[in-house]
Parts: sequence; structure tokens; C-alpha cells
Amino acid sequence: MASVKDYKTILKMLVKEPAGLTGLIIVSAFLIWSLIQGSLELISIYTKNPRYSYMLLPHNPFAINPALALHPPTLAYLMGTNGEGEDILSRILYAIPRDAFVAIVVVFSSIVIGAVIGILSGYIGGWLDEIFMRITDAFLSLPALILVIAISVPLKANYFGVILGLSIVWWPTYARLFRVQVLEVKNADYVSSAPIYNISKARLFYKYIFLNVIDPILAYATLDLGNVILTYSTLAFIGIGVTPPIPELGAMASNGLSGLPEAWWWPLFPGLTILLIVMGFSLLGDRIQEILMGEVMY
Amino acid sequence: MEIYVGKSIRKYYASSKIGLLDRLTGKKPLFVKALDDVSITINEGEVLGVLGESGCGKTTLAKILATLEKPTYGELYFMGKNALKNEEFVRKHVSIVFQNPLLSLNPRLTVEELIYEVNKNKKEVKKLLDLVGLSYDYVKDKYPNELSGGQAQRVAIARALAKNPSLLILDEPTSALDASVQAQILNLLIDLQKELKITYLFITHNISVAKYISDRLMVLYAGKVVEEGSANDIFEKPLHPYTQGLISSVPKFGVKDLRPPSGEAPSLITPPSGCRFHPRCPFAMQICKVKEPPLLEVEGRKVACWLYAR
Repeated sequence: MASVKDYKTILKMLVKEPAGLTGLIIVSAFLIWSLIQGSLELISIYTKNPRYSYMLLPHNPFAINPALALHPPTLAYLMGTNGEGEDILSRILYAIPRDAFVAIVVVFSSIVIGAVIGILSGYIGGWLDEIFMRITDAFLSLPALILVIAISVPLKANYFGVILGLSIVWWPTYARLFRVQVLEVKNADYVSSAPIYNISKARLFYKYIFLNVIDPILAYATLDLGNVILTYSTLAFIGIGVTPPIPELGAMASNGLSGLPEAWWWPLFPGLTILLIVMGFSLLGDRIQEILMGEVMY
Repeated sequence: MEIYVGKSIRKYYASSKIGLLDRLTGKKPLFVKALDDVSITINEGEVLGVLGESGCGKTTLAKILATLEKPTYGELYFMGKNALKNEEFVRKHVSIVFQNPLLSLNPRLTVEELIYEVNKNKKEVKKLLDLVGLSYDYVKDKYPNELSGGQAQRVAIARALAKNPSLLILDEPTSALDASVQAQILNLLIDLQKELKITYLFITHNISVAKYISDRLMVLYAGKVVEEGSANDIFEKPLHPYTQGLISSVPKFGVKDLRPPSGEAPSLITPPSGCRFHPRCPFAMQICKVKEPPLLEVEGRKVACWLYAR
């Protein structure tokens, strides 16, 4: 058994094996690029100078050029151009930070909400547990995607609306995970004897319970970041939360369908990007889970 | 003077959850009788040993006395006050040490944090670690899983002592340790008891350990007290057939003659009628199967056996 605080051991284990290493490389590249490009996009918004937002990109992702429409992949336009002559690679690179932001915000808020509900439910039990778990069941009985659509469409949600919608429906799995873990830790002597040693409730919930149950949940969260991106892209694919002309991977893939079969590169590359990112998180998450749960000997 | 008195403590656990359907069909709940009418008196300054096999209710007794569980029936008086109504008062004065230090110390806290959270005085933390024979500089930043079993148990003892308890409940504190470490911890506990004048309730299944450390001894069998008295007397001349069996099942050097009680400990859901030991007892009589023996005063101690009834 490893614990998240032994992150050096976890890293060593990850790079030893091709699947974990691949996941780590994809996810690191995705996160680092998101950080750099995301900062530039924010700077361009605050300085009101759009040039900053594409200074690292091969082309201006918003430059409409009918003469270049549906230009196939070449050295100058590695992934070709779309029906409006915009460079697809630049648009993909421009869109990536938004996916990272959605994933991190939704998973983080789910961990926070799930921790509060799961820990109270598991530790206190009784009728509180019943109420919390029936609410959780109600959320889990419908697929998250359908629920987000039901919330976002009537509200005409924009980007942040979709983040809010996803956060509202995403926490129940985490509440369940926390609750199960808490039920296990609750009977450990260090938790059951806490009242004798005058441990405050806040300290008990955080230092005694939360920190001792968080490892498997973090492993799941890594994997889940990919699921959020997939759901977010699906929403964009059907046009929810998209504000043209801002590029968005799912929306690009969906628009690109009109270029098939001649302009195959138009939907293909945005779709492949989604696939790559989600796969990266799956590989990494799976592997971290194995290392943390002790299925791997070392 | 008595520090803790428990009268007729009973603790029943529901062995299966009774749902609505079971209630409608009139199914009766099954209870595990972990403790059945156990009375206990702990005198100030003594080491009271509680001896018994696993599943006889030792740990349940420890948890009830430490206010971590409530008895189903029974009365508890700590320093003269009703313990069930003054939980906070009891908790101020009672500490507990468990069998496995890796399960009783929060793995996310360093040794220093573990003791500091109980006694918020850095100097005291250092003193306590010195007291249990650990070097402060060596252990303070270590996590419990970075220590050996013996070292971790010393930390657990230091933490238990950090609040200056009047009563220290030791629930099999040496059972998870190697023999040599076990001896060190036992000596440490004896020294600490002499130095700090704390009362110990020492729970164990190990007869030699019980003999080594106890002033007075209580033998439990299937949730009942079978014999109680001065440890010397009991080991010299055990009266109850179960105690006799236990003592003759301790291996001795150079002697190849072990005579453990035959059979196995009974189910606590449906305990045998009459005396709970009668199916295993070599001296069982007719009355043993029918009537439960009372705790009789014999030769200055208490025995629950019909052999001594006149």
C-alpha cells in the first residue's frame, strides 16, 4: 500500500510501466499546455489585446479566410483548415485550457461536496444517512449527461453554466465513495477512541477521517477528470454551452461532420484530441489506483 | 478506595439487522450477549487483570468502561459519580491503549502531533517520550508506520499518559508484539505504574502476562465472571475448573504435559443452559446443566461454580 503522500514512490512506479508512463506524459502535456495557454488567454482578456492569446499558436485561430477553406493537412496547416479557413490545430490548442478548467473545477467541487455528505452520512449514520443516501440515489438513478442537459438547456447555459450544471450532478459518486471508506475507518481504534482524547469534531473529520480515506478517491478522481472532459465535449457536440466563435473540441467535431467525407480532417482531429486526453487520464488513473490499492507489488 | 465500580453490566448486540419485513413476519431479533451480568470493582492504585479467551467480552468491557460504548443494562460509578450520566468527567480521567498501535494511532499524524494534540505543551511531549524510553529527536517527526511495533506501542502509551489519567485501560497491549518486545513493554508498564501511581485495568488472553502484571485477577468466560480474587491465590490454587484448565494449558520448560479444557468456547447467541462452562467441564453435575451458579465467596475470593456451593 502506498499513500498519496509518498508521491515520489508513485512517480517511480508510474514511469516503470508503458501504460502508466503514456498516461503520465499525455496528462502532463495536457495540463502544462493548459496552464500556459490558459494564462495567455486570461492575459489577453485583461489587456484586451487578442494577440497574446495566440502568440504561441501557429496561426490566429479566429482568422477567417475563405480562400483557405477546407485546406487539407500540409506542413503549414498540420491539421488542415475548416470550412471557414481557420487553422484546426490552432483552434484545438486554443480550446484545450477550457477543457482542463472544466474537469478540475467539476472534480474538485465534487470531492468537496462528496466529502461533506459522505463523511457526515458515514460517521453519523441513522436518519441523516438515510436522507443523504436517498438524495444521492435519486441523482444516480439518471445518467449525468441527461441531468446536465435537463438543467442547462432551459437556462440557456453558457460555459460557466455548464460547469455549474456538471458540478450539481457530478458529486453523488463521490458521496458514495466517501461514505463507504468512512464506514471502514470509523471502526478503527484511532477514530473510535478519539472522544477520550478530546479530539475536536473538526479535527476528527479532517485529520482523522478525511485524510485517511482520500487516497482511493484521488485515484478515482484522476480517472474521472477524463470522464468530465468526455461529458463536457458531448454537451458541446450537441451545442450546449458553446459560444461561437470560441473554439470547443466537441463543437468542432460536430461542425466538422458537414465536411465529411472529403474534408475528413475537419472532424477527425478534434475527435482524436478528445480521445487522446480521455485515454491519458484513464491510463494514469487506472495505474494510480493499482499502486494505491496495493494490487501492484513493489 | 474504589475508583470504578460496575454493577451487573450487560451488553447485547443485535446479531442481524431487523428490517420492516422481519418485524411484520414477527421474526425475533437475535442478540449476541457479549457481557452478561458482569460486576467489576477497580481499586485505586492496583493492577486488575482481566483474563479470558477471545470472544469472552474482554474488549467490550474495556470499551464500556472507557465510555466508548454504552452498556445495555447496568450501572457504572467512576470516583463515586454515575459514569453513564457524567461521560465527560470519566473521559477526562480515563485513557486506553489498544492491541495494535498501527490501528490505534492516526497514520496521518507524526509522533509529536499525536501526543501534542492530547497535551498541548511541547516540554511535556518531550518528557512523555523520555518516560516511555523513546528519543524525542529520533521519533518526533516520524509517522507511526515508520516505527517498529514496540516503538509504536510506546508512543501509544505515551499518548495515553499525556492527559494524566487516573485509570489506564490496557486492552491486550502486548499481544501484537514479539516476545522480547513484549517483555520490555511489560516492564515499562510496571515501572510507569510504580512511578506515576496510576490504576491499571489490564486485559489479556495471555495467562503468563496476566500472572506477571496483575495484583488482582478476574477470569471471564463467555461473557460471565467465573473467578475473581488475588492473582497469587488464583495461580497457586485455581478453584474454577475453567481457570484450572487455563493454567494447565500454559507450556512450561521441560514439562510435556498440557491439559487444556476440551472443546471450544460456546456461541454467545445461544449460550449453554445453566453454567456456560458445563459442556466442557470435567466435573459437570446435573445442577450445572439446569441452574446458573452464583458468584460464591470461597477462601477470600469469588467463584461461580456449583462445586463450592454448600
